[in-house]
Amino acid sequence: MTSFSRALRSLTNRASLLYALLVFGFLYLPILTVALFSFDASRVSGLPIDGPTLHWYREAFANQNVLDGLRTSVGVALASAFLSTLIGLFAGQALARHDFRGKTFLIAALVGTLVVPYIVMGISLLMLFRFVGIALSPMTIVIAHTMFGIAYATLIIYSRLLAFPESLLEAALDLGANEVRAFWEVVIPLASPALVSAFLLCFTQSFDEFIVAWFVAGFSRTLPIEIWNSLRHGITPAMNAIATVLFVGSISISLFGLGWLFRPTGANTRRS
Amino acid sequence: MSAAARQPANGTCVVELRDITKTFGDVVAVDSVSMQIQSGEFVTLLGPSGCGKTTTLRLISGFEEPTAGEIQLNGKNVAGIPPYERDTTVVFQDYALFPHRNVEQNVAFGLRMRGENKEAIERKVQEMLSLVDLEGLGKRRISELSGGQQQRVALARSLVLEPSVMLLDEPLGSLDLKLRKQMQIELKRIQRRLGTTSIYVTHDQEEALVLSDRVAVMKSGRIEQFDRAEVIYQRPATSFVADFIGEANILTGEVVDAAHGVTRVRLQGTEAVVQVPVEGKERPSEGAQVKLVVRPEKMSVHAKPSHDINVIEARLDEVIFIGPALLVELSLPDGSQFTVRSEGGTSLPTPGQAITVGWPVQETILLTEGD
Repeated sequence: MTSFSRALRSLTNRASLLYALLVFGFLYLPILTVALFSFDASRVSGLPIDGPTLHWYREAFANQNVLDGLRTSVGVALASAFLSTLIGLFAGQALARHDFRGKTFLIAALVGTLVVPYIVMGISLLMLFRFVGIALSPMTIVIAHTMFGIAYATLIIYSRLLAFPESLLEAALDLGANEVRAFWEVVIPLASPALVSAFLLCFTQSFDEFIVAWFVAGFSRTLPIEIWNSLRHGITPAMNAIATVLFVGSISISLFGLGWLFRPTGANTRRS
Repeated sequence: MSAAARQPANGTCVVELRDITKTFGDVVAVDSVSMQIQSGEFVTLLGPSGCGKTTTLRLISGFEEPTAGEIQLNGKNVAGIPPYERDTTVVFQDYALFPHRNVEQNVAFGLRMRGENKEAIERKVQEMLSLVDLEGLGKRRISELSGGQQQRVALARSLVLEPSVMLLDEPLGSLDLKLRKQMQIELKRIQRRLGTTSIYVTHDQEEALVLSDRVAVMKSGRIEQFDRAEVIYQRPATSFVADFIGEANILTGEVVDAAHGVTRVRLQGTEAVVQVPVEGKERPSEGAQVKLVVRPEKMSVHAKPSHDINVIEARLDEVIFIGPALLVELSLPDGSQFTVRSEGGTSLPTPGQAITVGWPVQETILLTEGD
């Protein structure tokens, strides 16, 4: 290798590194700014920083409205993630094991619910609940979030189960397990990484979701709705603190979920 | 082992198929198949892909229900009985071992489903693992085993349940040739030892001959011939069977004389008349068109005619060296081709020249079913 090409390569390497830094900077700078100001002792966010403090965190989590919102959000997210994963498990198994007319259409329709604008979904659900006569409550948020969650959960679980041959289930039946037992002994263990990651993904989706929740929440308030309400009275550093906590929480759960899905297991290594 | 006690005495019919048919839409996968399989027998369903052999297996195991006909296991009609209540086990083509369980847990699965107690399960699993030469590998993950070892686990998982009949769906198909031959012998040894009635599906005729007590050759959903391996080889009923099992030269001709103890046939496109041994009732009438089968290894070049040797003239097309022998490709004046397997040691003329070929009269097989 000539010294020129070596120099060129080192230059391109550096350029690539710089490029990567810029991209990640673009992605994370706003969040880092919020995180930075959440530790700023000054009431007015701005540089220079007035020295680090945890004051805003204390203030945020001393606020009863914030705590109520957090409790509602966690409850809604747990319930909708549970329902989504449960329904997604059966739907995913059905899609993976059976060929039927309109299967492709069904999968496309599932993906479709993910690309419908949230505002459209929110308004439609609101009208539907009014029409059917269901009172708005945290329950209606659970229903709305389960709608999105089913699509995520089904697709994740379906693609996982697709990797296993049908003969595994047949082997269980052949060896004396009835359908329910075979499902419990074979399908659920094999699907378990997908179940965990589907649950976590649905949880974070529900926890963060604002628009649809805002339409169907009625008088109940999730944490994002609570934040939005507070913001109408002006941005306080306490909101920065909440945002930072939310960000760290969501990204941890998501990364954990992804890691779980792709973790090496005996089930993932197929024989050669 | 207790296996012997549970098996009915030899000679009892374990599996009986009565005129079963299975259709998928317009496709007839299995077409009026009837067969009886005795206790302790090793029966192979042999045929090309799509001949209905795997479907037949799935009908017996309960994964499919026949469109018509009846299946009996141990004398009981099993219509509507699901796989998990049938006393059959399947060794799947891809083994279908549970990847989330180790070797022992795989073998123990069926016993656990039956609700046997822990000690019994542990004892039977260890016994079975030692029978299939997997002692000490019980705690291994499935993904840590070689193909041959996975095969043994699959076998052990089926056998440990002491089924009335074990169904094997091309279980050696994904092994390489050498391992395959080893496993054939191993499989035969284990099956003999336990006396488990077995139905084996394969498209490999050699495998069928090595393993089986009886072979059912299938074609287009029907059984062409069902008999002992030697009979299938020595007395194929149809040209399909003759061609599918071993190498076969199929010669067509016309019966010129059926009056005497031996039937004489003039081969198509030649003046050559050959003698065919025929047992009483199969005797064809004079003038009938018939097909004869002669195995390449029964033929020899430069044969001298005599009362028990058939001899014909043919043109030598090509000589192929295959190691232990020579394949001599020949053709008759009407263009029909056949092959002689020669052990060598004879001088052969150059391609295009005429050569005499002969074979013992009793090695001439008259096909009884025309097709």
